[in-house]
Amino acid sequence: MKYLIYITLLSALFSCESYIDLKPLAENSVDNFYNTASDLEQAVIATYDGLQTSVRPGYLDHFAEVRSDNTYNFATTPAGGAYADFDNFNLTSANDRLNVFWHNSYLTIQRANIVLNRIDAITMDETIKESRKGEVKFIRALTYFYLVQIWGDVPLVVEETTDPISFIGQTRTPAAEVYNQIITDLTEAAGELPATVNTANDGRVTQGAALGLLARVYLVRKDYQKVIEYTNQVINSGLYSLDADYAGIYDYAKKSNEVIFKVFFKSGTNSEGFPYLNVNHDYNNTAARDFMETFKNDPRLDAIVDTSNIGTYYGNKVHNENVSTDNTIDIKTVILRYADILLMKAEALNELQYPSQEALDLLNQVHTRAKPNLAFNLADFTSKNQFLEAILKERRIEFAFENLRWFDLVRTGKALEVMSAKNTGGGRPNAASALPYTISESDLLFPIPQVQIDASSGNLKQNPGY
Amino acid sequence: MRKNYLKSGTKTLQIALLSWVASVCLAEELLASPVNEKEVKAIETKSKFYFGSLVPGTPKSSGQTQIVFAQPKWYTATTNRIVSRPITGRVTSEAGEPLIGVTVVVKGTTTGATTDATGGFALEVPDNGGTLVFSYIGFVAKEVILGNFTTLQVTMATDAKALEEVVVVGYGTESKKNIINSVASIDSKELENRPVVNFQQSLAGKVPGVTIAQSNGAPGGGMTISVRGVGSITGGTQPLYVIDGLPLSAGGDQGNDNFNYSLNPLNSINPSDIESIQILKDAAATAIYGSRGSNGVVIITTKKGALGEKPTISFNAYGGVAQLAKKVEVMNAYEHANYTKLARDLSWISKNPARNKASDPLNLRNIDDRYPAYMIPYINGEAELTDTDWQDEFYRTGKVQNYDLSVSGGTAKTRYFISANYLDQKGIIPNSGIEKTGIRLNLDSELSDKLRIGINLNPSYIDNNLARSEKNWGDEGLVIGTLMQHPELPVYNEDGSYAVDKLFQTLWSGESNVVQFQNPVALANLVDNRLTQFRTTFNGNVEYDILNNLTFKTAFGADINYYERTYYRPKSLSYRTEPAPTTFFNYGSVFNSNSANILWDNTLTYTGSINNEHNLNLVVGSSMQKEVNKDATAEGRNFATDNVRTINTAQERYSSQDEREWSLLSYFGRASYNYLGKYLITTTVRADGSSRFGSNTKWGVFPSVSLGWRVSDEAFFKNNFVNDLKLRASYGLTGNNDIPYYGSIALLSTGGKYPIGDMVQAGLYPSTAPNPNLSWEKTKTIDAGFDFTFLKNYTFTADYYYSHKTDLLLNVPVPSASGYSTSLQNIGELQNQGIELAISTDQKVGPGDLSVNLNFSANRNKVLALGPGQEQIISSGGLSGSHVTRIGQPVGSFFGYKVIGKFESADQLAATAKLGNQKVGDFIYQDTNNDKVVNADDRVILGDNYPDFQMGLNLSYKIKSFDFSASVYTQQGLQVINTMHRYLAEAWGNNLSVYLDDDAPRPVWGVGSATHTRASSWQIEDASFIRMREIILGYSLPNTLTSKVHISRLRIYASLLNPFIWTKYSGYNPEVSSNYGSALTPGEEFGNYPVSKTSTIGINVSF
Repeated sequence: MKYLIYITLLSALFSCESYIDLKPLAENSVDNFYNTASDLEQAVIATYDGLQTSVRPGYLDHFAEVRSDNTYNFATTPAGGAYADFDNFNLTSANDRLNVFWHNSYLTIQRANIVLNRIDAITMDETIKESRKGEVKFIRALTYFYLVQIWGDVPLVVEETTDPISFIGQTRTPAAEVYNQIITDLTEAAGELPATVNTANDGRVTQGAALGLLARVYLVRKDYQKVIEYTNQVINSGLYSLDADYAGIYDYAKKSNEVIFKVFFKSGTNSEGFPYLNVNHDYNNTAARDFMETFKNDPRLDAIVDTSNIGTYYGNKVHNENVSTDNTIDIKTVILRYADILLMKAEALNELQYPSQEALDLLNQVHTRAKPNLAFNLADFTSKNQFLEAILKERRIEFAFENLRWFDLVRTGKALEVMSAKNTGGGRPNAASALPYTISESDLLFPIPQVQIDASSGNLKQNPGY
Repeated sequence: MRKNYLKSGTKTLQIALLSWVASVCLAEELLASPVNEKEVKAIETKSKFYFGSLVPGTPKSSGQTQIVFAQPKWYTATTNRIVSRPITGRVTSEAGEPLIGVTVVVKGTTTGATTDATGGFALEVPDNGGTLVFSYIGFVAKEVILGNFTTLQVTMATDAKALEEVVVVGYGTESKKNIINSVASIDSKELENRPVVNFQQSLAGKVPGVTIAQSNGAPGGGMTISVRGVGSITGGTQPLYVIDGLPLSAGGDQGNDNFNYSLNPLNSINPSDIESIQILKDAAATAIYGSRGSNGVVIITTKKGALGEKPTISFNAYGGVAQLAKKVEVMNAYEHANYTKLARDLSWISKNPARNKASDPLNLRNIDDRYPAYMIPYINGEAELTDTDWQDEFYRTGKVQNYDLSVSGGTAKTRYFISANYLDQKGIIPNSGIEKTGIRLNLDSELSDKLRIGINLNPSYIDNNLARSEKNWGDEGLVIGTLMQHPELPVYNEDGSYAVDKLFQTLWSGESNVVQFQNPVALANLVDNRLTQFRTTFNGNVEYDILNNLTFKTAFGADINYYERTYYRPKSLSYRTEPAPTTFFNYGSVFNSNSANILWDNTLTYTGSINNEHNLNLVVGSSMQKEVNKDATAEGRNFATDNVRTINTAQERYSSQDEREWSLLSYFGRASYNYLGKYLITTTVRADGSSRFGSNTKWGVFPSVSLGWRVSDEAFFKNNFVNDLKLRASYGLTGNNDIPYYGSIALLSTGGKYPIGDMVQAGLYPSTAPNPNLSWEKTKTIDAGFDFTFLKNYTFTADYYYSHKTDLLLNVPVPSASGYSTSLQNIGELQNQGIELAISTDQKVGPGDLSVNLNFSANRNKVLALGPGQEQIISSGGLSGSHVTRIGQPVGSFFGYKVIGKFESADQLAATAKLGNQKVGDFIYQDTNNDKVVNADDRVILGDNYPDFQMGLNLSYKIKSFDFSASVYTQQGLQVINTMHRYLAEAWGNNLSVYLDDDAPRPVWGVGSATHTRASSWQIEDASFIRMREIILGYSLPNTLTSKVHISRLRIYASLLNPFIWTKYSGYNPEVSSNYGSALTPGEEFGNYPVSKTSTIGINVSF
């Protein structure tokens, strides 16, 4: 007995340290992942997933469409509402929608940073490796591009985070530096990405996307020569063309040669579908009265909005009647398409050398697809600005509900003028919003989310006017 | 201590048995050598054979006087012929009450007896005189010289030293007299016969410094318990529970989130099985539990039999009814219809004030601005229309019944306690309740004079019918949903079926946008929501005396816990976005969880004394504990029919699995020394290594020291007023390891899927940030106090404590630019300081015995530090930004705008700083920083959920056959945020009646509009209360009557639980807390299961 007890006693005193060294059983961890090509592919997929969270309906559209004269918030109550406050220029920094977009964007950027930090150490097919680098650089650049257009100066992060606490001291990086990074990423991506991908890889970023986005970035930077350079590269690639069927561009089931980059939502039982809304439409983002009045005769209107529901014009571009058993639908959100390339080039040509027959031809390519017998003539325009107005009007209808309008208004310096003219609210024919509003210079940038300012202990400074 | 109801009828057998055992014991030794007196004495000391039946129920280590059986005359008696004669007698207390079970022994012999139910005894005594020794627990032993008496009337005096109870402390026991830490004890009397599911519910108001809130009234629902203030910001705040030496893990996943309230993991312990509860409060007491000690330790000891005790069979039963204790005032049908009309009209007018009028017909308006057609007769003032009080219709009378049966007793070397328990409680929400069945076996046996074994085994089964009470309307939360139901609607159709879907149809048809909540009576009754739990706790130990005063103990414990959670929402019940028969919302799930918590403890205990002056007790030990949790969930949608509800019949099925574990490796020691019981010192130390800590910080060391001085034993202090006065002070370092299992590791989420090539591909990304330095939270506590006994039967205990908590785990909000929203860091600091006072007395008042216990405690909590450069953490409960944790303020204070009135006119509106596009009739929020703008910066702290002080008064009075006890407690100076305002304010569902008052804001129609529902002083209410917790009146039938049917005790009683509450608070329950366990968002009422008042009658019988 004694010996048994002594043995027990000894074994108890010399228990081994490994007893308390336990690893997670149901989760992978950073320590044991990112080793193989398969691991890395999953990190890349997660980066695409991140992009999904910012461009999905209900997120980016509040900044890019609801804010503009294109759409308004039908669900506005007398007191406004978190979504409606975008529409009615009544935003405060506490608005949760601001923070959700900011937060999701940086999560995407972090996922891209992880891929770029880890990929060089991984043994995998070198061509694929190059492509993956280009893909996540594109996603990072696109995400920063939205951030910088929405908020101006934003923190620039291009490394994998190892110590989140150190970010409390992070301040906003000047927009010019952010743009430089965007351009660097896109330029490198354009060199790394393949021109095309096979069907199994449909949905991945290709070279055309990087080039096209570069053009869009340079358009904002007003470097029109570069816009022409990069739009030309896309056009000359011969890979893209205008789709004869405008509505078909948005049909999930169809593969359109016009679409250069899009983000997919796939229904089914793996939480990747887009939630089927009450009546399959988003009442927070419906066509404004002004939009409907302006384009009531445009043939594209039926593809853009559901005109059957008089008074409430729901968007049709991310619409799908086939509801999966998990109550979700397949949709694709178009980020960049050929018509945009053509109109960007037209705009750049107009800026550099008005009048330009080439610009007119480009504009007409898009315009006559919708209205075959109503091509513009150079004689229709008396000034550079008038031609620009025509392009903007064309863009407004052509890209309605595609998250470009507000940014177009801001980059062309027309936001205050255009929005002020449509500020009466309610059901007035020219109303851009549900409620009357006033707009000023400071409304061109959005308020930095208070949550972020608080988390940074005030190191992030608010935009003026908020 | 349990009384020993030995009857004289068994004495012969018992004595014979004991004599035989004893003689065998001695005979072995005697045969081995020639006999002389000296040698026999030597043998006695060595073998230490205890005459167990003389000290019933007393563990050997308790320090009670042990009566050594063998005496020198033992063997000489065998050579001398003894002439005996009979004697009878009766033993009573000083009050004249018969004492039952008194041991009567002829001094120096084995001849003895035990008194019966009338206090009488009879035995044979030597004719040639001698002495009778009377002994009885709690009384001074008495010797009576026999002389020529043939009958004896003996009166025994109570023994003040009997107060020297033994207190269970970690890994050992200590005489209560020598305790120099802050330890509170509760005994079984305060736990039994209460209509409660778990013992914690009986502790409310009984222990100073321990706050036990009845935060929800669900049968089997969890309690909010804090020892000496909130101990952590984000880590665990629950004390460690140790049952019979087995530290339980308090948490455990309970299935998917279909209710917010946590079920109490301690439901499996039957309150009637508990012998005593010790609550270790100061760090010096809890430091022996190291990294788990900083929230206090609750040590539960279950009942045991007594050596040599005849089997005692006890049967207890009670039954009762429960009712909703309080209703919330909402509008009646007429008020509601008119208020809705007003709100919708105003909304319509505001859309175009120039054109729109209140008189515009409904069909001109959009759906949001219409009110339902069924309101029109009410608006027109027609009489006698349906006016449903949904609270009356929904809440039912709850019922409770409970049965306990136990047998306890012992033989000379083995003692046992066996019990069985059944409880069935039906809650006041339909289809909610709990059924519990449990068995306990506690067995101890001396295998030899050096070797003892013991086991405790407690299997239990719980079947819990759950109600999804705590959610908002959108998640079909029943409490909020019931309040929001339109009173114009009936509960049942004329044919008696449930009137369902009326609100849905009102919306679907385009008639009006109204709250989309199913008839709550139908919802509660038709949805299955249940949890079954099978749990077994086991504890086995072996003790071996290596030397006389050196004991080795090894204990193996296991807590095996199996849960099954099932949920089913029938096809036949419409959902707000899907009419019946539902497919997507025809949902079922099953969740299985099993956990095994395995413990192995080893201790060496040394007890020594030099001349009874220097007393030393040493414990060293090691402990290994590991818990593995595994669970699996299966979910299904669109079942074939409602008849078969298993997931295999669902069209769509999903499943998932999880598995996690933690382990703890510890070494510990304690040394207690006292000199003459006057100067006392105890030090402890524990080293804990935990799997939860980061790789750089695997081990923590937790020391403590306590000092005590019994002033009353000093010669200079002797006086008649003071009986005992002990000053004590302690310091200790403890930890809180209730931090996430893998908090130090950056885990990856599989939520990053994306379709490529029309195929969904897997994507992984980090969801938590790494922190290799992650460690336990640290608490340094000093405690100073005294224990004071005066005028014989008054005791007064006072404590002051100050605890400084550092390295508190915070999910520090970090800028999202980092790729994370939070990072888990050991960074916060807070302090708790407070005083605790308790005074109690047990004394005769008139012909009865009065016992009074009054306690008072006050705690002040203050945050000292947060993250780097961080001044505050703003947290949200049901309302956005409703709580703030700010440096210099208590954790989780209420936060928001300060309402200073409402805008009465357009002029006032124009002239006053306002928030956003406020209108006349809206609240005026104070511009607290005087910058002429009202914005987020004007939010201020509006109160907190911590009482300024709490008091409890417990009294009991026994007179003749009657006993009465009552318990009342109060908390003063606390606030609650009544988040029911979030939905019961907007003319969508029904509204709180307060919106009809003059100071109410204008009616606003707009779901989720922020007009009324910003966190503000409007929702913060004074929640001070005085609660009558229980009143019990019992009557015991006279022994003369019961003893005839061999019943030693028969008591009937009636009790009221929560019969009264005095409070200004308007919600259901001022003790409410929706966000169970979150220190950041305490004190919120958002549809919690209301607390009920219960009346019961019961019976206790002992054989």
